[in-house]
Amino acid sequence: MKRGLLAAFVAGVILVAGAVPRAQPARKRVLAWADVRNGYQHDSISHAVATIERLGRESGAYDTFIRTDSQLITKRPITFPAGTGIASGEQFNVRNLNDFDAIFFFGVREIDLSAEQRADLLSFVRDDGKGFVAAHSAATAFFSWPEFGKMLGGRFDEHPWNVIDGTVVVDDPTFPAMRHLPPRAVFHDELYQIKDFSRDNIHVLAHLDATKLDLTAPLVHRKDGDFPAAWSKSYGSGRVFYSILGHAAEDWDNPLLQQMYFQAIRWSLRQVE
Amino acid sequence: MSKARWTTTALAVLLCSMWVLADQQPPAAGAQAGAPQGRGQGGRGGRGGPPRVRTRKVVLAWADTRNGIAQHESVSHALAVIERLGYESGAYDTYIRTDSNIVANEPKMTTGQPASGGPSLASVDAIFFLGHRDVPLDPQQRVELAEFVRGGKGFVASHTALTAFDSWPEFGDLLGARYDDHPWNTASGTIINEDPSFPATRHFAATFPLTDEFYQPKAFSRDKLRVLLRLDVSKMPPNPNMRRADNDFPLAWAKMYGKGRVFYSSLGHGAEMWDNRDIAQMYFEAIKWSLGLTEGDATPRPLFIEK
Repeated sequence: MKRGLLAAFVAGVILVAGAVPRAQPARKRVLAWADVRNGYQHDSISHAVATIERLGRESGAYDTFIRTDSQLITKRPITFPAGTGIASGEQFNVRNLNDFDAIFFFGVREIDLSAEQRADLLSFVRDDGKGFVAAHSAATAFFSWPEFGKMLGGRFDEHPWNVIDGTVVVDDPTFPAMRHLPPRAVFHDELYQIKDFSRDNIHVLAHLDATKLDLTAPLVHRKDGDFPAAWSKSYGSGRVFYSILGHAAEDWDNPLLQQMYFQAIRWSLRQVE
Repeated sequence: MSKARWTTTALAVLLCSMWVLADQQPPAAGAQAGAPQGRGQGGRGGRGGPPRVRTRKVVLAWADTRNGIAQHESVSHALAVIERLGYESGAYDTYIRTDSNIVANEPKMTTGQPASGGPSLASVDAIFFLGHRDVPLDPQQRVELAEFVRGGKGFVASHTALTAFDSWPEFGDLLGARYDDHPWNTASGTIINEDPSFPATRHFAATFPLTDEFYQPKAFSRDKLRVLLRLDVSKMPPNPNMRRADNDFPLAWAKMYGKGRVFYSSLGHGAEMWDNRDIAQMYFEAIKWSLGLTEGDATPRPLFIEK
């Protein structure tokens, strides 16, 4: 009996040890960054970052770290006042940009970053070849920072029609984030007009069907009917994706929208080409 | 990730969905992507539309971990699970925040200027708290947070929350105890369900095994809180850091702070703990109770150990 118990114990230890995936390469890490302290917080943002987390976890494609502050936007070691550590005093679990493979960005307006943080963020994408996937109000961020506009590829220029049914026309059905979409799909969303972009610098993946939009609306500034809805681009060696879609929490329950951002993140992580 | 692990994960997710779907409480852990559950109330439009009428309760899931070295890997998953449980059931909407700016009656921007609308203590009904160590709140924010709960709002806290605000005595009174190490680190133990009638612990057996990092609470009194779950210390290996002579080792409790309902449990160290439907259900039910959506008796009771 005793021997049986011992054997069971040993077998248990082996089983438990075998279950620890220590030898496996670490999963990709995505920082879901939504610093909303200085602007209007869209009600969708928490549901969006929770959805991005779930898609990564359930697929096993990546682990997500959700932050609505900007502390981790740095390559410098993050230090703390004395006395805030725990027993061992080790600096474990302290992450900075170097620990992440991509950023999912759903911030808004002017975010408080130091000059050094700004430089590190650009370098994260440009020099380290990491990913930057941005949603909806991200195009309203950092208006005071020209280089951010260059990295993202365009700027917010009002939503002249507020929330309406918009027809999204896919321009590149071969791109991973577009493959699942029909050639034309209707999204009920707050459609952004984009400015300060050039089709020489961004690869438009989908655009709004301008024939279905009221071009006489007061805030319509774009006269040639060019309204990008999603694009990809490179910034240095990094991959950048942006889409105007995702204003309301319910929008993030739409499998078409979920797949778009999920595949965009995987593309930015170089899991798909 | 290997193909075998992929298959296992996919199978686990599938099984989990089927299992949970059969019961429906808490809502499906692996529900079909995009399945619209608990929707259609009020809507969540923003600027530009008609003014929103909120018909659901609002929970602030608050995990400010900027001021300490031990952000747990589980925090983001825990926040996302809390959000999903509320969203899919329709019980509450969640604001996830890892900063503390909206822990104020009149939140400020990082510049110190008043924030432009958005959530605040005045507009949320309960807080789910997963911060740790010294959370950066100014004195006014501390007063407002204590008043928020004392005045009748909910406060549900998990795991590292016990290590928070060491420099703020009133927070210890609010929460009911302080952190005093985790003597066995992550270990398997037997948990005693002291109150199978309370909403958050109704689904647990009288005793059950669990592997987790059990926090040893200190500075608590059973005159002030109602213990719901307790670690059976008699089944744990002796440990020099186990300090209570009476072997009283609460793992979950409910209490009142003024008119507010407070719940704490130390369970939930690893991300996978939040996929454990019993643990997820405990927090989901605790939040509903703290919101006043369900009733449960938080009257303090003395320790009773059967001989």
